[in-house]
Amino acid sequence: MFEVGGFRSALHGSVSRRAFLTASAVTPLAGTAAARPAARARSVIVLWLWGAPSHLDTFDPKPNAPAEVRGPFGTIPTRTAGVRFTELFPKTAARSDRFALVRSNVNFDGDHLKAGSIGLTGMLEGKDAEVPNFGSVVARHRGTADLPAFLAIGRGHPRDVVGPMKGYGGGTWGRNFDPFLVGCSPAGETDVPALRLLDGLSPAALDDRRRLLGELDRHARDADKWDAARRRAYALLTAPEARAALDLTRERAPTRAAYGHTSFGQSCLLARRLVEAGVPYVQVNWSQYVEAMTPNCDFGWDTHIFNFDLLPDRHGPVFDRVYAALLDDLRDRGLLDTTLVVALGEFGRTPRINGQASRDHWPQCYFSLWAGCGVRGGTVVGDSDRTGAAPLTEPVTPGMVGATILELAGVDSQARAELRVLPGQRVIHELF
Amino acid sequence: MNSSDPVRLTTDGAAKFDPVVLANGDIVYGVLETAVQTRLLRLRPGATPVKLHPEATTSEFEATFTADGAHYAFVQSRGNLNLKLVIREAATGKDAVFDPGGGFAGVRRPSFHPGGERVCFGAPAPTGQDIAVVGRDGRDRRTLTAGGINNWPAYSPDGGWIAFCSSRDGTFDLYVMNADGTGVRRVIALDGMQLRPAWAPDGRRLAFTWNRGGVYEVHAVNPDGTGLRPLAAAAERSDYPAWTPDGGAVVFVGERGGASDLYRVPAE
Repeated sequence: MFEVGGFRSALHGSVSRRAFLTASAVTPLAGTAAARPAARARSVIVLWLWGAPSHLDTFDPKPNAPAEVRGPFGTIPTRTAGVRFTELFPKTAARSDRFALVRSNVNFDGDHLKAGSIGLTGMLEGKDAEVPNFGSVVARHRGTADLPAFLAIGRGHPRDVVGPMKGYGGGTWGRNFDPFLVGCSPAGETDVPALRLLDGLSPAALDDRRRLLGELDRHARDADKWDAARRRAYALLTAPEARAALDLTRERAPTRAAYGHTSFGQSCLLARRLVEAGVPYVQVNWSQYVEAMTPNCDFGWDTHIFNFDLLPDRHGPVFDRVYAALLDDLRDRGLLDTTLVVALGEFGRTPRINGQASRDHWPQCYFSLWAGCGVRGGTVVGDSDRTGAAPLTEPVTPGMVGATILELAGVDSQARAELRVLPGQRVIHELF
Repeated sequence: MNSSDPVRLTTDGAAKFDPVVLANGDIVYGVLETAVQTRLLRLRPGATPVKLHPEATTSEFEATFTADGAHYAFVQSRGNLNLKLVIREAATGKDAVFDPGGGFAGVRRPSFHPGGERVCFGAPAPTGQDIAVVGRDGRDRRTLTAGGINNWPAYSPDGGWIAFCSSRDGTFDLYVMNADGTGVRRVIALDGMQLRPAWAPDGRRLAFTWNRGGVYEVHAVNPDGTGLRPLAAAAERSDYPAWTPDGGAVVFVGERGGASDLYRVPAE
């Protein structure tokens, strides 16, 4: 079922092309480039593990470290010789030949909101919202005629209990380059929040073609209400291919089951459908809030307490199932050659277990997973020291993460220079 | 369908946690009701689940009851990364609260002494995580363990023992100790972590979750480590075992087809 704003709508397949064209003609959905280099990554999926997973308890365990570092989880072999993960990730371990693991990521701030902004923009200026998200860059460079070029799946703007992440969207390029938000429930019901605030929009209006066109025309004349997000929302509603992509009920039941009936699982399935439909950049947010166990927060990875209870209870099994399903699904559909999948958080967690039997923030060393688009499966890029405190090899910075994503997405160094993003940052060529 | 096949007790598929079967056969369990709230539900066999605390506006977890059902305890999310232990008199709704302090602090996985005198739980400590115990009034906190990450305590039906899991010897393994914290011994040595022990009503078997070869399964073992047998094993997760009052079956949370539901399986 496709949910629009606060209600569900059974959209008619007969909504006319004119309606979509009317909506999209008011303002282009995204910028378009006259001449683009070929993009190896037709699409990018970023799995944003908001709140920061512990690298030691996931993909960079230290089984020979002292007890106050190694934690209580056993380790298991992977399909990559000599590489072990913790026992929470057996499905991921069984597919390690299909992705590369970076164990030497670093960030430059220990605050979630700032590190998140730096992590998603690649630049220190990101924390002040002065530079664009990687997805915004792709959206500006690539654009699409029919669909938002940068789509985020999640509950809302990423934040913590203090406030929202500043550098998440288009930065100084403006809100036109912010991600277009779509929600997805554990049952796979999708939701377009941008439509919630439109006066006069009702299920009846959406069910009636003429009334819908009237609404479009009325809102098109009302510049204040007719912002980019809402234009794109209407375009989504009226483009048959977009509606189809957002409707998970069209998916085979075994496929939906493979991802699991969790919000993250169905969100990743939705991401795959959007990639199939041609969306260049999809960011799936694990949660809106970083906090793991806080009233009104949605169980992020910020496990300052009960890290060793939460990870085997929820976070580990959910991620393991979903990541494995996504890799399988993309491969089986022949999409992995043209889709880059990157999974990472904003930093890692302290090597030494804290006084709450958990781990705190650690931007000095963490992990990322890379798959698709020629990334050499089974590769481990970089290494960390014996306690996971620091990289032993050249640190992989957020700028390098961004340069690699953008390069594969067709935003080459010349284009990045023209756009003034990620100057001087190198691609992580060790991935290929 | 084979008589030993699990019987599905719920059908909504929402994420579920920590069922406990009461003396009258009702099952109290946690469910992820919304993206931001877990809620305790009470399921009477054959009926629709009802909210245990309809007024709850914050996440609640891990209910545990005295043998007579007169009191129960549960964990409540009351602040930013802060979890309190609520001990409630069922008839009056009168609460005692054990507050582990401000800031990032909490307790988890409580187990009510069957006689109702005490509640034990997992509590973080500077040296790892301990099993600690408080009186029914939430006072007189005492620590029962030292060293390692200790969690998922469960009082035996006679109140004389506590089963729990601990990393004291490396990774999470299954242990028992006297209820005063003495006489700790490992029940069994297995590859793969063990979680969430639950005593059979006669105290002669322990059901527990075992991460066996990468899949969470429910097994049972005698407290002396003999008689290991699988109770619920599938390609997907089986977790959170709880015995029925007659000891004839175990209720667990099964992930099947990607959906999470309660199941009941014969105990042997």
